Amino acid sequence: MGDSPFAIRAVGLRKTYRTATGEVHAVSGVDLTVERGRFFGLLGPNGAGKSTTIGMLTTRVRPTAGTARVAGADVLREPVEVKRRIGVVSQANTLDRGLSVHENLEFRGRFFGLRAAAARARATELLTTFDLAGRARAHPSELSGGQAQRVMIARALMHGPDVLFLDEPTTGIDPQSRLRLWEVLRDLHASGRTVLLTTHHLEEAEALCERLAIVDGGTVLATGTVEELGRGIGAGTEVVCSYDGDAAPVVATLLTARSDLRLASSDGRRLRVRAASPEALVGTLVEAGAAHGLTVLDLTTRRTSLEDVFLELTGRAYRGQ
Amino acid sequence: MSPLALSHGTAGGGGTAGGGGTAGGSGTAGGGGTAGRAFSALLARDLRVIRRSFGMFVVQAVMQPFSFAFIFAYVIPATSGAALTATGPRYATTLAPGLLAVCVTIQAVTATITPLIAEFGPGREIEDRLLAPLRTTTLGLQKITSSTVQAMLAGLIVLPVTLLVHAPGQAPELTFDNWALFLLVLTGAALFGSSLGLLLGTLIEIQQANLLFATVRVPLAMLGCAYFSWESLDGTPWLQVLTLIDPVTYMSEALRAVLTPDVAHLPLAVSLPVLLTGTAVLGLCGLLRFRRRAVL
Repeated sequence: MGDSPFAIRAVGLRKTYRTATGEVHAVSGVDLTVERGRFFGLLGPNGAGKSTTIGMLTTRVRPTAGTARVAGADVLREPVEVKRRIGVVSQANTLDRGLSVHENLEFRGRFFGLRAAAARARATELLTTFDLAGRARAHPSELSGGQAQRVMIARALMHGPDVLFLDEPTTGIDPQSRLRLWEVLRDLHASGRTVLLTTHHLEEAEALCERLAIVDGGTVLATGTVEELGRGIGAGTEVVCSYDGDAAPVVATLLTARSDLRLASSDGRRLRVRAASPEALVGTLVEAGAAHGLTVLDLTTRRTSLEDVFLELTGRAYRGQ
Repeated sequence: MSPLALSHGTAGGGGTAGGGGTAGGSGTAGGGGTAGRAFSALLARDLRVIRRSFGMFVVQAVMQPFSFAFIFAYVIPATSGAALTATGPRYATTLAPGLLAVCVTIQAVTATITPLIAEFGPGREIEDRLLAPLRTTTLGLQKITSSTVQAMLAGLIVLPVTLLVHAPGQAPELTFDNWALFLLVLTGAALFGSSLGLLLGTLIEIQQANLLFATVRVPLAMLGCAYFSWESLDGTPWLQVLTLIDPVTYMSEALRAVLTPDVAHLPLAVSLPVLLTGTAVLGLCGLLRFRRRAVL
């Protein structure tokens, strides 16, 4: 990958499909930088352009405009070189139905130049690692959703890729299998690999990704760690505070007291406010209440969630589907 | 090393060395470029699939030629006595190269289209092959190559059927004094069918597949001068012209030129160039179409 500290660098990636009814802008200008060794997430609802973006980064979708380098190679000018250095787990089950599970891995290795015997040995090794040794001879159609996903991940690792792309890897599989897949993905990242994951599950993004890009409507709305994203919308912390009387008059006092404070919602005696920093926030709420003769009955503080970030960025509630 | 670790196998370690960005291999063991090795591994994959269902493969290849040979070279001569065979070459002699041509074409077209329909279907299994380290057009070329091999294999399996299934004393009279030319014509026919298959397979959607088989496959076989020689249509010129649209005509006639030179046939100087030009044109269109369809 040369000296570049970046595993992925995309500038102005666009994809426009021409259909019978006109042009569809699946991706309308994505800039993305992923440092080597990161666990990076593309988070957004279905139809946000995640899969198309990942398709362009993995040479399976031709960009309408823009450039991208992946693992040191240009996706447009050196697609073969890119393919050699990446592993891809696509959203759909693309296991080869003409072959058994073991053969799926064997031939993927051979596509990348492994000799037959070496490919078979590595396939066995990987299937064992992924707890799939018992399914080696199975036909892809006999696998559960979670098993098929693990087979696809194992297959993507056959040639030891530098960068691993996973497109919605846990969609449609049961919660237990999902947790198990998370373990696998954490192990893969721990082995030093760059991982780019797309997901529409907020909790998955929070649980796995070091850095995130929030994608909607074909563009990246914000990039950073969960904390950075929260700070980005001026709200690292959210507090729900209940007083012993009507809280409406308190709002003005609060907003004057702290410039970083914003009202998320108010509901009679209860206020939901957000602030960039949690520092002295509780004290402010108590004092502002006291100024109007109110006492705090109950108070919960939590870190701003990705859901809040999404709501703030797009002005609408997050619906993964 | 842990199986999850980086740079296992061939590709990871070659990352830096491959910075030049050509398709040529860096970091792979042994000779042959990255794309060449991927190409042969993809062929090996196809052969593995055929080997697994070889019985089916044989039945599929043999069924139609066997039925036709049985009816036209055995049942009809046996039931109609000498009437059919009184003059000219034996019917079995005219029929054998035609059956071979149809078998090779149908096998080539089917062997290309059937997997393509599955691969471009809902799961887009094609993405598995697209991730192999070769260019998309090279992958298309691999598909043509694979079907060509399968079609020739089918042809060689069917050959003895055409020789052995006939009424008593009505054996086809084929000459095999030019194996090289025979194999060249057979390869040309198989390549033509595979190129046609690639083009059709990338043009149609799954739902249209049955329609395609009904509308293309049957006339392709029936009008391809397989069951009669082109010369024998002298009395019906419009039909003679019509059959010239069917590529199978040139295959049947080219095989007649090689295997049954005594049966009147189109000269090889006509049929072979038509086959090869057709292959080149269809192959090119098929590859372009495949590239457009595969990489979205």
